[in-house]
Amino acid sequence: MPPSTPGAEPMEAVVARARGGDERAFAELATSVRAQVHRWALVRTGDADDAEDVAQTVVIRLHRHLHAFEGRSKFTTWLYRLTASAALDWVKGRGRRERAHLASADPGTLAAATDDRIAALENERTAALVRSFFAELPARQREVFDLVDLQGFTPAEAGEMLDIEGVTARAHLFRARRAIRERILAAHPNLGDDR
Amino acid sequence: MTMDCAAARDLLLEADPTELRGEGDSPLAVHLRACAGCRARADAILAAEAELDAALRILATPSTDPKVVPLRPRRAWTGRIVPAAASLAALAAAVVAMMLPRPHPVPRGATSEQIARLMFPAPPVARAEAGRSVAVLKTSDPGVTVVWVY
Repeated sequence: MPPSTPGAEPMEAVVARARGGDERAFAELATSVRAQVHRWALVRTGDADDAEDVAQTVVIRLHRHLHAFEGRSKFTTWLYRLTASAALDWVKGRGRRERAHLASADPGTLAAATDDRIAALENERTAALVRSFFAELPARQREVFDLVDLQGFTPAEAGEMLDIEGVTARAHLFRARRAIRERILAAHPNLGDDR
Repeated sequence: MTMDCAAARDLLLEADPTELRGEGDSPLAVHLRACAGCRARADAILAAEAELDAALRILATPSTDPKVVPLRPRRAWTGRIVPAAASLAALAAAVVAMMLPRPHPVPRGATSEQIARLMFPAPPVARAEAGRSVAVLKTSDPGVTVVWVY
């Protein structure tokens, strides 16, 4: 699990205070997890605008459901599932509103707003990599790769968060790594086959 | 160096980042410590994945544009909370509200302004604390709490 900020009050303590009705603790908790939730939502939905909406929805649901968190799982696992549920609901709602979605019709097409934000990245090669990350990897592979290789969760933790077996998480991880790394190496002409 | 480059270059496509850094005693890690060509490939992968991580962090930063989340929790609630946000503070990037168990008696078809007046008959005091991006506001109605995401 990614490290917490040195010197900061442990997350579990803030969760406990927020569960007890301390609104300041809730604000502190929600603020501290907001970026993380936003990142999860982005990777899951593949849509920058939707990710913002999902992240805000999760803050509301966190306030409403925090009392139901009993500590049987890690808070991050519980929060991830809350985010996944909100993202799923959001995507369903978007379908009802007849908006195009990345995962529905054309998996190679990013939402315009997302593509604009990617285009604003300074490094063109990075932008191309991000585009392929969203356009070419299935959502589950994106999630596992992001959680494990980019955010530092173990495959077992990722499996728990995604409610899949650890071995399944590893299978998704290997497929994602291979797809991403082949693209990375293809973008480096100076790394030709010189053996 | 017992592993050849062809095998190493296939393995590094699925290897853990620690192995790509040449850490540990696995055959791949040992090969990467000894072979500059394969090491360059591993370094390129690690650098690009770090760039991908940084880019995702940037993309997951909330935009500064005002955003609105539609309220859906109770049937009685039909509006959006935009005007409430505007009345609260210019700092508000978004305001979302949560209905506690008792539905708020908002008439169907009420305008957003009417909803805001129902919720806030007297202007509430909202303070955006430094280092925070979420605040919880109580309203005059004990059945309504506003979670302010700014």
